[in-house]
Amino acid sequence: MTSAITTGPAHSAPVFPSRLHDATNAAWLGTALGVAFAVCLLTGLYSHLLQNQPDWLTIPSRPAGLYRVTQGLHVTAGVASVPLLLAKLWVVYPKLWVWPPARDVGHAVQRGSLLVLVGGAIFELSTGLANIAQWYPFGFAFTQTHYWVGWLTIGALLLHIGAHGADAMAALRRGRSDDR
Amino acid sequence: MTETTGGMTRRGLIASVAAAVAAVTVTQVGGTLAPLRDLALLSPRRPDLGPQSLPVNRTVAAAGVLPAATDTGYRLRVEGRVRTPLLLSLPDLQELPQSDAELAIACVEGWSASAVWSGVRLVDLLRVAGAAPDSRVRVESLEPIGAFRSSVLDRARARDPLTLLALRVRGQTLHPEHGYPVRLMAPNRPGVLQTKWVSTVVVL
Repeated sequence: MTSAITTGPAHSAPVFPSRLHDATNAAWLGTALGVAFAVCLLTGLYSHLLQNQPDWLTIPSRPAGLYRVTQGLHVTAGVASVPLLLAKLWVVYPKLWVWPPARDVGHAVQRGSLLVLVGGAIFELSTGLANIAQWYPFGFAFTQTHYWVGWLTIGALLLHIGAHGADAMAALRRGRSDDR
Repeated sequence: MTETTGGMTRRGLIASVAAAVAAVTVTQVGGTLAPLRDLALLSPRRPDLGPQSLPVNRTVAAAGVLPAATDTGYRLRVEGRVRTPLLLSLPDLQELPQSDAELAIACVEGWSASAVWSGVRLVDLLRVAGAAPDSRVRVESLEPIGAFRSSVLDRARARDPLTLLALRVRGQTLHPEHGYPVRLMAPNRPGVLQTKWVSTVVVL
């Protein structure tokens, strides 16, 4: 019970009967997503550099098969993030109903950045999936948009880790001690 | 809030998420990991399907290059910062020293497929043309338009002996879908940059 997510006054909050909407589950799913997104960031940057190589930069040509590994990791980590993100959003969605929506300006900024994080993550995963399926229903250039929204998402992710990283570590320790 | 009982446990949630991650990973990664290719339901390409058992993204029809690629008047031009510009027919290229390189087409979409490619080492061609040893090189396609009609090789790739102007794959003349008469194959770079239907090598 110590790690249950609070949902505000009982009279205004919907009831979320599952005990899985807790901080420990949010923390381990967030950690897994953080690792997957870090892999996507590094391998994505490598791919971007290879495709937008400045004239002055030389990138080692060996190991000859390095790119197939980094790009395989990029797509694999992205695909693996889909169930992780769905589970994470399900675990934390009761927080959407927190009332009042913002306690103060700082809290409002932090919740606003969550909108960028969630929107960016969904955008990156869905456009990435569409690209590997060679399906382009959208009217914008895939590579450039995927690249720039990637930076937005990583920026919002760093803010998120700054705001919740310590709490998440504590929740993980708590979860280990009262593992159910 | 009251503690509810029943329903899924934390272990159950972890196991379900892990199973979902494993399922999507196994069905995707077969696009690049050959032993899992029969399970590659989520990958757009099986690494072994296509002409000469290699996948194709940019088709010869989409590129509109079939007439130019099969023209007997085809000549590969080597120009730019060279002492001797070259104009080489396919038989000329076949008479130059031939080399093999095992290289993968590694697509940004996550699939990849490896094969032994044969042809003329770029570094040998640059020597014949008298280019400086640490040149960068732009390789252009017969393809008149398209985002990937040319690509630039940095110094590391331009002098790497694995970088080929390939004429054959797996011992066979290149299929038009794979860039006949000449395609670029260079180590450690995305497949979209392995220019097909090469018309011109420009030393920068």
